[in-house]
Amino acid sequence: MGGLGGTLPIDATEYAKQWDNLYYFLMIVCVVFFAIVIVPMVYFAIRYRDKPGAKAATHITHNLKLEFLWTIIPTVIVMVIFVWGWVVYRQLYQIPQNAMEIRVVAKSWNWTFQYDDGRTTTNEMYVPTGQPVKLTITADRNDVLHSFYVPHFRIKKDAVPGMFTYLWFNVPTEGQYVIFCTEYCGAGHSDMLAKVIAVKPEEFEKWKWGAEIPLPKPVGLVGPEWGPSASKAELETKTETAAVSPKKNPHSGLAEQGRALSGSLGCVSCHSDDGSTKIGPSYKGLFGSTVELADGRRIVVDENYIRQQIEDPQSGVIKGFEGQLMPTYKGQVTAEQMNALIAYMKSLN
Amino acid sequence: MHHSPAGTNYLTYPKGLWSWIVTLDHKRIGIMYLATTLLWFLLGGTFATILRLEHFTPGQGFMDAGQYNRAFTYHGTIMVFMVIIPMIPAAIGNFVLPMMLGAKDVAFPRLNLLSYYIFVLGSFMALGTLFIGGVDTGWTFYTPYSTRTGMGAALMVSAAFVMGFSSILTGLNFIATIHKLRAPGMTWDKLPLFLWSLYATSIIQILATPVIALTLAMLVLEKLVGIGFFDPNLGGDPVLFQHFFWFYSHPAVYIMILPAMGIINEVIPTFSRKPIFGYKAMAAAIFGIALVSFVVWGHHMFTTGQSAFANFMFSLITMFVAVPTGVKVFNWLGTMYKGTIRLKVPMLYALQFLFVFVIGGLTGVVLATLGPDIHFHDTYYVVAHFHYVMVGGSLMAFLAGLHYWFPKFFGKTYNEKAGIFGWLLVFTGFNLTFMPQFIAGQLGHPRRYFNYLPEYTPLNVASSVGSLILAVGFFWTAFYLIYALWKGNKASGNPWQAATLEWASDSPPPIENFTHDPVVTHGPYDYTAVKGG
Repeated sequence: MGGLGGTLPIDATEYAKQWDNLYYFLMIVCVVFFAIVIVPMVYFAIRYRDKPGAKAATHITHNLKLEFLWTIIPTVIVMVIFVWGWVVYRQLYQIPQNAMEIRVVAKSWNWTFQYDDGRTTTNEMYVPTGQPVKLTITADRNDVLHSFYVPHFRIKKDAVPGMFTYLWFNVPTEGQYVIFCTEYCGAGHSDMLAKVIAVKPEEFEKWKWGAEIPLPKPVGLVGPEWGPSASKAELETKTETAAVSPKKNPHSGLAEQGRALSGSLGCVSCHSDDGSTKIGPSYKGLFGSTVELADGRRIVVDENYIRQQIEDPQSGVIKGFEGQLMPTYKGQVTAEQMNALIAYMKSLN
Repeated sequence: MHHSPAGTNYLTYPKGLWSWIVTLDHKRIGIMYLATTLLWFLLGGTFATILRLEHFTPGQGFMDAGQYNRAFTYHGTIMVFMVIIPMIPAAIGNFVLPMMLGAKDVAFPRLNLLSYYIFVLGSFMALGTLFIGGVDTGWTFYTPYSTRTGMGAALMVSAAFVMGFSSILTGLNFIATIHKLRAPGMTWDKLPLFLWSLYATSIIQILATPVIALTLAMLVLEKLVGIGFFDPNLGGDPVLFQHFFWFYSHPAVYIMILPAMGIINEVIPTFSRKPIFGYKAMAAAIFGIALVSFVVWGHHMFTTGQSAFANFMFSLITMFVAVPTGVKVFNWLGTMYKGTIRLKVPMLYALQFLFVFVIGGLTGVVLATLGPDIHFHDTYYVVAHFHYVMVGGSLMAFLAGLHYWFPKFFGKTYNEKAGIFGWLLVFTGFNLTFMPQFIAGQLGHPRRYFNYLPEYTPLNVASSVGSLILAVGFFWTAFYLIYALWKGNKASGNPWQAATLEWASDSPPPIENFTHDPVVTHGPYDYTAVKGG
């Protein structure tokens, strides 16, 4: 059962446990302050109630000592809360180096997950337990805002069209955990559900090769399983064994797909993959490097920069490549293809 | 301003419908605002009830997803732009502000009437969208969804733009009136706190509303002409819209809550027979809140991918809203301490305000905290929080104010027992509606969900039952107040023995407000100076 008498979802990750501890503290502060206000309020309303023979009101206008105290004490308390909140929250930015990357593409109205090995799944995100997983989240330019949310992990991040955002988690125990879309996206918003399917690493290896694996139990929000009536929900429409195994594509990893794309889109005529400079900068060693732009800015090449340059090439030309006219690929590359191209560039490091 | 014949008041003189339509009397304009916003409240509340009825069961009930999405859009838009923002300042404020100052009217009576008609125009534009397919964007109009749905969204956004001008003009009018039309003897330190809060509200209205007006204009330009501001396909940034939107809409929360606090500042001392505790701290806290409200907008955007540093700063600054808010709450308690407390209907609503506002405020601190907010963002926890602030805060204070000034507005008294019964219904219904939503939010129930997981059913049912009790409470209240207009006993000039100037006049007041020009000789909370006090 989750914390606070089952009014919180089960804390499935270490982050969620830390989150819960902070929230327990906050609840204590809330209850104490609520009592500090409401108990005197009710007491005064009864004790000083006007009735025949009641004493006239005492003329009190202010009390500096008291006013000083009830300014300072709350200030100190909210600062403690703020710092604790920051300490918990900043972990979401500290993505472990060894994290396995999954690219999340939010669409109206489903979730697509792209793996390094080129596999793509819809609405089911298989992950190995005990392994940090980094999510690179985006939505297609033509789509709208969505938000990726797993209540059991206490994590959430928006999927913004034309932008990449990041999130990570490490779930130690097997189970199926619900994924909600939490940014309103139209008629299918509340049916835009998916699940994280966490399995043992050895099972995950089998799954990668297309084998059928037994599915772990769904982890309910309150108890260990979805409620009995949950059968109506979309989450339960899938059978309990992975009968529909995800499309297997053992010959072509995501980077390989990106390489093929860079050929068919004509990228290779200007960009080399071996470090030699053609018309544009080489892809080799580019991703993650710090480059100086023609306008003097120094930036780190990341997903957002690559996408920006593919779609609006003049917006951030690297120094030394001024005057080279690259055509825009806006509207020609889907979010999934963009992920493949980026995976390809990353593979050249 | 001509003098009215003896025995008449602003309601009866001059006569005729036309005299109301073209009236420049702030009292009549206030009453017109009151009637209009209450009508819109009925409409917005109907949408809310429909939403709750649909949520008695998961999955499709009597509406489909599209209808549900439109219903919550109209509920939100009507309640924010057409009810809560204008309700206290434009309706109660218009009536009370000049009278509290001892003035005959606001500084610019014609502008005041213009504000009203601009508001009505905007309201009809907003409701006009119902006839061109409706709007399903939510009241936040987030891009790119809002630029890619039907034309209804463009008209709705234009309506909010138009109503914004009404808000700006009212703000200007109030500031000029407070500066220029105070009665002899009303120094700044004798200004009632309701007026201090209307003053701070007016400043926010003037400074923040143009930002939303420009943002909405940009949105309409993008939609109609294709100029790219927010649409990534046109080279825009969808998150930029959120920055602009919340740059206004966060201060707007204080446009909704500061006047509410102002009403509580009048009701608690009057019914405790004791001066407000810490007058100066109260006025300072109002301005502290107003000031901080401009630099916290980013706390609505912790999950958008904005930088860690921005999130750090916005969380930190938001924490400081809690301090002046806490000061106000403690000062209200200090006012009650050793008072002579009369638990009349306005006071009961003021106490209810304290009860729910403290819950709304404390959960606000939870949401300002970075870690917790990530889990709660866009869940029912947020929905419960802002209803505790806006309904629990603003609306309860409005009801306190309505019952407090009702005898002054209409010269009639309502049935006290009926009022207490209504208060009980509203208190029970409100908390039963929104308390389960905190738990649903803790369990991750996302907001704006037409369909929900069956595990959330009991919480949704409890909330829906609560909403029906709340609706009955509002209808009950409407019933006994309307009955009092016809059959109520005649109210005296100062039935509560209050010390502010509006009570020095008759109930209802004559058209020129005071038969003798008032001179201020005592403070707004000096009850020893009041007859019967």
